[in-house]
Amino acid sequence: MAASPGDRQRFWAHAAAFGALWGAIEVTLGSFLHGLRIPLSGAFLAALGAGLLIAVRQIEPRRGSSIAIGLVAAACKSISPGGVIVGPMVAILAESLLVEVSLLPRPRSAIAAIAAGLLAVTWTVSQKLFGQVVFYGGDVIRLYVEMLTKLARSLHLDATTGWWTLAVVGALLLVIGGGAGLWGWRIGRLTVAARAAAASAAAHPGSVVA
Amino acid sequence: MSASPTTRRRFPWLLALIAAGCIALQFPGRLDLSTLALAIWLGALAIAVRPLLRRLWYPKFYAFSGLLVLLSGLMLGVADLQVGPIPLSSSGLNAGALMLVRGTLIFGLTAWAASLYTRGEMQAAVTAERAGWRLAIAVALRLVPDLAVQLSGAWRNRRRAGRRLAAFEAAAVELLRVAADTADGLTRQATPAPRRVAISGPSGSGKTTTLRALGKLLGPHGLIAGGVLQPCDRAGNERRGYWLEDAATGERRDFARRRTHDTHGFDFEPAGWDWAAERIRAARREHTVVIVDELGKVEATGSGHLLPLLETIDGGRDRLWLCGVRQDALAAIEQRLGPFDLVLTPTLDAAAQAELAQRIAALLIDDPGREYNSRPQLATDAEGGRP
Repeated sequence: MAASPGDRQRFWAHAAAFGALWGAIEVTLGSFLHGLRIPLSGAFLAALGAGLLIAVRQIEPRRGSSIAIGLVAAACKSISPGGVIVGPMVAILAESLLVEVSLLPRPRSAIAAIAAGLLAVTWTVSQKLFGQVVFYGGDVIRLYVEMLTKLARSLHLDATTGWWTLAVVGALLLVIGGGAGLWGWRIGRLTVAARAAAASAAAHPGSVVA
Repeated sequence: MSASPTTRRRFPWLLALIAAGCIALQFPGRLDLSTLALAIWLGALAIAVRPLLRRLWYPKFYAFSGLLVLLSGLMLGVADLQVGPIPLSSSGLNAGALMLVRGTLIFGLTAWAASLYTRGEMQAAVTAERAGWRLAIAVALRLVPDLAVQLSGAWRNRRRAGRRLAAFEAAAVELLRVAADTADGLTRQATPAPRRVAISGPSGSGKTTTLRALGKLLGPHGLIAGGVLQPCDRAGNERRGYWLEDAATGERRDFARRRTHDTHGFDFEPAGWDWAAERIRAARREHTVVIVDELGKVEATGSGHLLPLLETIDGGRDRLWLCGVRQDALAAIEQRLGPFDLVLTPTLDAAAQAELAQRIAALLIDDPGREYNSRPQLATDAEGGRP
């Protein structure tokens, strides 16, 4: 977290601007996808959010910025026309926390960016299950495992099939989350380069009629 | 339907205690105790917040919970019951019923907790105090509609550009750039702007000489100057080029030379802009007064020496910008920098220069809202100022 008043102003100004951007994505695209009931829309939004947080970390590498942006974005989500807000707000906060933790050791590393994207997307997928455990207790997991086992038996599948299925789902998450992380890392760097080029062009007028 | 504030807030502490007791009854994982907890909680709600009971009617939740009970009866435990053609397990049904009761209780608890504050009250609570994260949220809530429009625009432009990944990427970079620029603008707004004084006149009217003199004359007022002067290299009436001069140390370097093929223009040395920008930044960090000379046509377009002035400087101590401004660019510079508090005419007369220094110093000292005018701050400036 920033120390001096000037640093704090800058820190929260970035949180406000990028949190508002994430909030705008959630309010517009999130409500649209929620309305259409598109499968994996939560994972897609989580990937976008994680990509945004990772990109911001390339532009303004300050510790705690991901959590601050998540806090602001979650508050912005409260004005969503989609109606249901508590679930997405919790998801946004959890994603920002996971991205922050992943980026803490090396905020500008591509590997950390991939890990951050992966964790954020994995969380979104598992949040529903986590919520059900909170509501219904651990028996709900026992029920799902039993359902999968019986389904495998009735389809004459062997025990390793479950692991393969899990591996395929994991690989899918790896591609979505890791890809989002890497993409965020890339567009963050492209933004830094674009801003630097614009500033350099403005700061170096070659010749002037005076 | 929402309960009235009075209804919502009746016996909140008592209800909180009852809620804690009901949660404790869940821990043994027994259907009878959980059902008792649910009955107690529903009874408490019926007495204290009756309208809330209607919110608990959420068919989707009960349909899903009912499905879980059925699936538990089918899947968990050994089938020891026969309901029509369907074999069911009593232990599975018991586990399913426990899930239903627990789910309903947790649902009731969260509905009550959520009803304590309306959405408007929550937003007011998080945006009430003008500091840190509360202010950030207040600002962000105002920014969202604009950014949502820009987002839609970027998406439409991407489609026009042919749905290529590169176009999508370019749109994303553009949005991030807009957000980063917005953040810089917000930081600037949050930082109190220094006072701005222009020494304005045509070429050769003595702007640089006046600025150099004022830099020295403001010292006794406790205002220590840094920054950049841009003296002209003249041969008679002809301008051959410009130097850059550090206003604090007097260090000089070559900056611009008259074009050989064009008698109206100058070629500027790119590294000179960087040199000047670094000194302006250093002056903003370390000095009370920042001198920036020769704001003219280049700066009227928003570039040149103007950029280090428009940047956000963390922990800056600059309280006065003393600018040499070309007369024909004054209006354009004011549009970029904001209006000047004083616009003064350059003078080569020593007494008139001393009078100008008095007026400028008075501008800061008569400014009650700015703590930097206090003597201790100025004494510190003097200690850490130029030699």
